[in-house]
Amino acid sequence: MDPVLLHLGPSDRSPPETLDGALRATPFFEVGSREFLLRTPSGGRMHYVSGEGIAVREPDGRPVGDMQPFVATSGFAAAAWLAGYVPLAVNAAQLPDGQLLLIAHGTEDLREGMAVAMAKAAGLALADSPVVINPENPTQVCTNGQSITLRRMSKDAPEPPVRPGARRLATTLPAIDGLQVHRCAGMLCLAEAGPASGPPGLERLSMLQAIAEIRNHVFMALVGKAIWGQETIGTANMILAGSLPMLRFTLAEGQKITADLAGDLLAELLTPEAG
Amino acid sequence: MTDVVRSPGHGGFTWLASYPKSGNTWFRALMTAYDANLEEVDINRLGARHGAAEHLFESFMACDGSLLTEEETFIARRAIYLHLAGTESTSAPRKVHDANLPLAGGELLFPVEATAAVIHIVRHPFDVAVSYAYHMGLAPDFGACIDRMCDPDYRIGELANSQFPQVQSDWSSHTLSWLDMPCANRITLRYEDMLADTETSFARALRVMFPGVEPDPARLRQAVEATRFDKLKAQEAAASFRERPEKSEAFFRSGKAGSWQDHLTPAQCARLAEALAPAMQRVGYNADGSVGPWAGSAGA
Repeated sequence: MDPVLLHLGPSDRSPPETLDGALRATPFFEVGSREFLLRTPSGGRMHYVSGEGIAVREPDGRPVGDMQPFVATSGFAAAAWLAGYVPLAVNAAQLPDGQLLLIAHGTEDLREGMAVAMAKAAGLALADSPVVINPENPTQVCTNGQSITLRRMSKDAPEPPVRPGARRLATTLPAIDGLQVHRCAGMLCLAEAGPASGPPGLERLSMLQAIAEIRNHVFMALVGKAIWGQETIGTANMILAGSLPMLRFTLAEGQKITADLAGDLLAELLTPEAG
Repeated sequence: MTDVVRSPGHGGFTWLASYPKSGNTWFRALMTAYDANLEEVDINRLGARHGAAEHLFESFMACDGSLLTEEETFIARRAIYLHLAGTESTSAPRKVHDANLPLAGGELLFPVEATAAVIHIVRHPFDVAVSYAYHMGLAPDFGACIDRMCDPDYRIGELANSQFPQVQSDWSSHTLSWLDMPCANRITLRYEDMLADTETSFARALRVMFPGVEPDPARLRQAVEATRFDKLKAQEAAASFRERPEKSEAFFRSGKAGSWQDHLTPAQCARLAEALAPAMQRVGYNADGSVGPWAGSAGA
């Protein structure tokens, strides 16, 4: 695996309005066998071609750099799919031994909250979503080099938005190096207390549970499906679920994510029995 | 599995549209029970996905939805609705709390071209004010809730974790926007009429959703029985309801018509009646809180 970030070199070419022979097209993206085109609702365009880097057209009436957050997420993920890797909508925290712990949940506030709490508890560097994993060797992961960004959950949040008007905020927490391939320690899948949840605490996932978790967290699945086909993605999901240590942490009723909770959880995760 | 089939050419979305706390969830429970022929309905497994669910749009946009500005989310929603209209084959309606108002370009957020049917439910705004205040954790400050119900720019979901923002607008604009939608397969039901004769009201809605298919009387009766308010409320008390907001003590609270009389002041009622008069008059809701006769509204 090579760091996907290295694929995203800027290109001077002008992004096309459409792709010839697209494998899949919606009003906002088109994907071909070696290229990906994104159109934003404001009229911005981003075009990635394997081996040729990424070209951007900023939308009229928006600030310079408006497309950068899309490059770091959608462009990064498209480059991963086209290079044979799987982008996951998860965060990552770098453990003291250098390995990355992937943190997953269906809603962003919970996984981002846990990642930030771990950073506060143990001074860990973090990665924003998506994180890319190599299905040929699931011990290998890489990030987009961005520190975590947070969902705006309060109108008077102090952090700046990642683009004006967006509901995502940029924090200043340390970032995991995106120019390195890292070793993956496993995936922590968070669950809230509720009518269908299991008992609070940490448990290892079964193979079937792990496949479902992986499938739920694949980023830009329609793009991957267009490039790889559903059968190949299903096989990749099974390989990842069978190879990655995958644990579920279920919060107790009313339990909030705090640095203390994250610290205790990290201590439990780092004991040999947990891994 | 449903044995209800769409008539030919019946593509597009079925919108289950209402102002919050007007019977939308009850209708979803009825639909779930009827569709699957259930004697009991699990309130945590109700049909009808949310029409503003962020993951729906993220899939077809190939981007993180929270990177978008609010105005971009509305452009995106309309475009994706149109894109999916030809492929949306499920009989389950999409629940929406938006007003169907024109976007900056003049087009409706929920385009007629993407619409198979509209089930629109209204409830007397005096009762909505009470129920909505409890829902948002504002009670007993009903005035704060009334402020929102009278605000033409009122939005919800701006900070939601899994939804795009929604323009709810004031109750009157919301109601008129759906009443006046030029869509042939549309019906507006009053909550109070649903309470008085659930079976008939629900059957009328089914005929709009599935033109040419007569509802099954036995399944109708069973669905009505399965979704009695006391049963839904007991289920929430016993096992919680995942759609209950954190600030709300109970989602299924009263379910009655006329409970405003125990909560609102005459001045609050007068304010609602004055601000919301255009739509109240259209659907037979009187300024004294009573519900008058109404011939109903269906189709364009």
